[in-house]
Amino acid sequence: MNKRFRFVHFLFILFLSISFLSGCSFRDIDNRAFVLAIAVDDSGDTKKPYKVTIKVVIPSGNIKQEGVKYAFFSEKGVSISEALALIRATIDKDIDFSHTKIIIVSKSLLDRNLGNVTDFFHRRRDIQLVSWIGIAEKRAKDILKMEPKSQSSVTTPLFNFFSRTAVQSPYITPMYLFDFRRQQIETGIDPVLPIIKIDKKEKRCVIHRALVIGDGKYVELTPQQTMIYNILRGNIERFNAEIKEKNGKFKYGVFIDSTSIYYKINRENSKQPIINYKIRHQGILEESSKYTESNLLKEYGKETSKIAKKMILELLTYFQKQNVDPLGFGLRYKATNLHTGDTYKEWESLYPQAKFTLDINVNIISTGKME
Amino acid sequence: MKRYVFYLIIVNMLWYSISAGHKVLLDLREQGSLLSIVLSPLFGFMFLIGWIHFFQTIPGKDLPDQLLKYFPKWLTRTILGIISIMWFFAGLISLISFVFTLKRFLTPETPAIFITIIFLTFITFGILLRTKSILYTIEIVLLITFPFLILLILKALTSSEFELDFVKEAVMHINHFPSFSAIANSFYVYLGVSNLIIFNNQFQQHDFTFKWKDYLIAVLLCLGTLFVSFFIPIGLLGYENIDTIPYPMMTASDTLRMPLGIIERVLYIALTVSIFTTFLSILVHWHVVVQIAKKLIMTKKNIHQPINWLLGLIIGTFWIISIYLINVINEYQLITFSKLFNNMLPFFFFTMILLFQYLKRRAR
Repeated sequence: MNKRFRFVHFLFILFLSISFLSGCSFRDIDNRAFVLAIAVDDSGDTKKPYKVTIKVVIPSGNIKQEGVKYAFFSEKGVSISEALALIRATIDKDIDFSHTKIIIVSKSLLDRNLGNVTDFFHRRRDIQLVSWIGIAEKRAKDILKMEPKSQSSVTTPLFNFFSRTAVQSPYITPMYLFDFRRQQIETGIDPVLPIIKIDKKEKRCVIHRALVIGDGKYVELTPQQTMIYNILRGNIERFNAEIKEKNGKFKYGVFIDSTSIYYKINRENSKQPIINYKIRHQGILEESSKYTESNLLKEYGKETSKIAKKMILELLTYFQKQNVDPLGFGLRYKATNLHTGDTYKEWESLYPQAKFTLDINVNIISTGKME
Repeated sequence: MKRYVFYLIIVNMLWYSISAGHKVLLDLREQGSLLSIVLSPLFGFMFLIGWIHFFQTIPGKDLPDQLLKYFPKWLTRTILGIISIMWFFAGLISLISFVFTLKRFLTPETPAIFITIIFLTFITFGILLRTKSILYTIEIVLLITFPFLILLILKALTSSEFELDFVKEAVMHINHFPSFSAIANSFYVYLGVSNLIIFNNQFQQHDFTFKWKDYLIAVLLCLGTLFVSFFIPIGLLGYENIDTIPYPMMTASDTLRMPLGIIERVLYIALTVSIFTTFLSILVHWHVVVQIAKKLIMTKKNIHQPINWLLGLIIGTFWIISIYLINVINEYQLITFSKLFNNMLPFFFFTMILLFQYLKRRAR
């Protein structure tokens, strides 16, 4: 009796769990419109400033026969939620945000406080906090509508750019929605968003620049700066670097496959903090303009580190001059100093004086398949 | 059988990590939360020794038995009445705050009343079980959920988005003097063992002896919970504005991804696990209430009919109060109320320890 009762009870709890599975909340899958991406534009209308476009995938019974159908809906509104509510009245299905992966905000909206633009996405519970956010160079709507040449049937192309499972490029700066929020509202670190451009002629997306969103100002990064930022921030470990001769001619290229980066803020001098970077790269030669010699590998490494050092220092002082802090030095300062006064204010006055030192070592271990 | 005492501790501990308690601690991070977490083992240790020592001396008996033996009837009734009201509210807070969480994250379109009724149905069956069956239930459910919990914690701590600098920033605020509320809320996590007031009647002398090693494990488990529930939301959501997030643990689990897992959004695993732990928490608390009520109601006349109409009345009250409150209360009131409730607990439980000392002396 007792044993049987326990078994029944076990089943009971199993059923309890089933009753709470979310399922479709009483709505079938063919009555739902799954939103893949949302684009927010400036409508140019002062009364209804937002123009929201959504990309909806229509569920179909047989993908092989019917293919995947997308539909686009856009509407103007005072707020994003109003625009979406208006869109809701134009679709014969229920809008479902639970599969939304990409949020694109137009660059012209940056004049407004971007925190207000993204507030809706943070607040709504069914938009994943692990969706990606990006900036559109011109119109966000066009990016959604573009179908690149390399598009495969089911996925959104931008999804593959940002999730590291497909594309791994040092130029792309993926930014999760929650990561954006915490970097934006916390002091001591500034978020960096990727700028998405479209190449209409070639039908492709170009994502190789980034935008630092500082305190009330925006600093655009060149592709090279974006790459160095991504390396320093630890977003990417594997990348290529080109070494040129003095006259600008290509000399050789290295491929770095493992990276380790540390930095420390040295406060021995209370007026001028020193930020010590320690960078270790390991890689191989990838391309060269002439024959290479394996006994000179150390020389190549030294040369590469010298050039890398110069580029990194340039970027760090550039950030400092612009008074933006995308690498989170202020946060590190707060994290290493006991909170006795307003440590962030201290840092704000210290940062313009800070000095950077770099200890960089590129270890090239092979010349590749040939010498 | 010793492990069942640990289960009681673990149930409370798990519930704590999603309750308002850890939310309050995160809110008070500039008023000494961290220091009070670090100091909490002191109080926790005192509390555990106070309770477990007492219950070890009365194997196979529960608190109502003991009170009825040494105290006049009216005093026993008052004390047990206060205890059952406390335990009822503990269960009620669990129920309401979890219904809110479910409505926010899992089934936003289902009415809150409907979720409450489903929960209450299962709990009503649960709390009427025998005490031993409840202990078995706890064991089974914990065995199912524990691997997932370990997975969740590892996933959060090893996530590349877990920013260690935020955690370090939080550590740098250790120099704030703890406020009373912070101490009270970090004390809550140790209270699991208090359910022994009823569950002790299942433990005989030979199978329930806590040695210093067991105390140490219990305290370390609770301390670990405090650290995990404090640092995981901070590491994933930032330090300075963590108080702007109403459900820190759930939101933190939404920031994790399992790109190659069966479910990509870790949030749903976290929700499922927390359904189980909340269910256990309510079950344990309200079972204590029902058992105390039984002890009080049972006279010689109706001792042979286990479910009489008075018991039905009590459970009916549970239903009515829960369903009424779920409609009128809002999130802010709930947090305020649970903060008040948690602030009261240290006084309550240390008074209880004094009571135990008195009872011990009477028994001699």
